Amino acid sequence: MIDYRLDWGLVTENLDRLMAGLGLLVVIAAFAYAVAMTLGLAMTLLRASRLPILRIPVAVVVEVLRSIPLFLFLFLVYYGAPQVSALVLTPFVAAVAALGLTGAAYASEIYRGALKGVDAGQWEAADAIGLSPFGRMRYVVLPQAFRIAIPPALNLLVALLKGATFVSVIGVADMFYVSRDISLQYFAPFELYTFSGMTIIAVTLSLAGAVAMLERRLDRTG
Amino acid sequence: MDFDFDLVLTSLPQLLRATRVTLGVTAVGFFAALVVGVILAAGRRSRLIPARVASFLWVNFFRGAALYVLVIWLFNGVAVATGILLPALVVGGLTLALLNSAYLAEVFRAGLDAVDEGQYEAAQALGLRPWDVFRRVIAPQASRIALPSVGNHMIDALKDSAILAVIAVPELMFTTNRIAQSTFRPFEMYVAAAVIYLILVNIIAALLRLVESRMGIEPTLATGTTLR
Repeated sequence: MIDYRLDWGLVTENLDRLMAGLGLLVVIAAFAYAVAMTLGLAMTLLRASRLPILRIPVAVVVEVLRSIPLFLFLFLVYYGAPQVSALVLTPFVAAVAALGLTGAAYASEIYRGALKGVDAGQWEAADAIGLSPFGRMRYVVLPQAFRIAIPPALNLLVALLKGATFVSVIGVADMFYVSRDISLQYFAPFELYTFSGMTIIAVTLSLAGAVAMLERRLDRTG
Repeated sequence: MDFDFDLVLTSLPQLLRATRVTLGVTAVGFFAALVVGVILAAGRRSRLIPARVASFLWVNFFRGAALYVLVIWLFNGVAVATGILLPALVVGGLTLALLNSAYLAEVFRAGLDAVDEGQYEAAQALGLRPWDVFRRVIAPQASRIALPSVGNHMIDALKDSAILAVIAVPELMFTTNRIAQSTFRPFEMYVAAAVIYLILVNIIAALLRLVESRMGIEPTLATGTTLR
């Protein structure tokens, strides 16, 4: 057996590259989150439509996206799209698209749940005081639905960041790509993966912790 | 656009064999996670402070970890540094078990918390011993509350298992990648794999709803609730 000697110096020497890789993960998650929250809202509105031709296809897409692994969907977008269309995506764009579309399906469920969470009496009361359908949404339903949606919507951001950790499999030069690159050059997989793994766990845990704290606060003042 | 359906048909036997690996590694990993999850949930309620602290740290560490990160770390990092080289399938099952034990521990904890305090008091008042209080009164109620979430986590674990392709576990995703690369038809292969995952997820969801209705529990969401 080979004698494996730890060399943590490799981590400190390459800290700037690793941190740039972490930054890229955060940027991908943030872009994907923006896509997810916007597209998810559109999906929710379409699913509430009275026209089956709008409602059914969107419902099917949401179900499919929630049923297939994100990991598989990433490969389908990156390798599959150029085969059947003129669309050649860079790894970065493919990562944002795959995470954003899958995220949108989950976001749409969050919005739907939040709208359902607003008591039916609130809708009726808004009608009774003579608000227009727009006014009912704007002044009565949405402010309450928004509050219900905050914790799950923030948890979606955490989930997207976790999902972003494997974008290096399609060649995005993130923290794990950099870790592999350095490991292959100097043979130090333990140090590099331990560092990048601990770093991403620290980031997701602090984010999740902040969400949990906010949730408790909303419950108290709710 | 031409969809090469023949390719899908000719690779179907390979895909189905790989699906058995997917189901096997998920089942073993998930079952181990159930056992460890129960132990962790008990640890959180223990009178011993070290048991509580250990369970808390375990649960929160693995809840924060992403499967890809953990599997790469164990398979490439830890294995090389310690010289303990385990087969990919074992590392894959182990990783699924570690992550899901943390999620399930939280599910069991929430289930136990949801059982009314009066139930404990009533069971004690009847003169039941502590173990019987748990086994005959608390556990049946807590497991009914926990079942829907456990089912959702099972679906999540199945979807998560696709990531094990990165350490060459010969499961569905890995096999799909291999055929996609050798035939230069990624679109057909990934769509075929997606359909298989879709069917598996819906079968589990349907079975879950069946069990739930048998037990008189209100049916829950069909597919995973967390992004995987």
